[in-house]
Amino acid sequence: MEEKARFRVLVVVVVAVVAGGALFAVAALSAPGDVPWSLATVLILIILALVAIVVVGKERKDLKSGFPKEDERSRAIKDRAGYLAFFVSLYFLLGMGFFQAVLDEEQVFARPPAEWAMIYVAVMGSIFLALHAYLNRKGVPG
Amino acid sequence: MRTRIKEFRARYDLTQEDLAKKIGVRRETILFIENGKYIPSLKLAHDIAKVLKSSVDELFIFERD
Repeated sequence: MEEKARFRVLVVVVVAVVAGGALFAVAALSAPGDVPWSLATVLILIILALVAIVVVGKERKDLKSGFPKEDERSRAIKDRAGYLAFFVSLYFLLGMGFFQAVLDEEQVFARPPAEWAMIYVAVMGSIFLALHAYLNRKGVPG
Repeated sequence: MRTRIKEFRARYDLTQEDLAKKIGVRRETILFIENGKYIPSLKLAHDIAKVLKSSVDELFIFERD
């Protein structure tokens, strides 16, 4: 796909994700009770919006500079970060299950499955971003 | 791995940006290859050698750990 077309698709996807997050946050805020969860959704939305601004800004800069959006090194970093994030988040999922089943007998931290899924996705995304930034600085074997 | 890319770039008065644009990669990729932090694919190594009118053997010095 042409670089400009890819950039437009990226902008549309980012706007859709942020808009989805905003709807979710509005729904959570307007629902009665559970203030911590409502605040958490607003925090997630703010993080999403910040990441979106950074990603779109970087893509725009790359497009203007004439460099390709991706090359073999950036693909290697993305692949490695994705691979590691998958396994680390699997251990996080196992830990969450163990915590809920064994350590949290009183069900103090019990949440609906949809909320656990949101937390899992947020953790997985954060691990991916952190690993991506780390590998981008440290380098990956070719 | 050590490389002589910097030396060859200087010979042809090329910046990292110039070299990256000629090969079609990002500037950071050239930086990391020069510093030995990224080992390029054979194709990329060949492309770099071609632009710098050299050979892969001449540009990349592999050392056993």
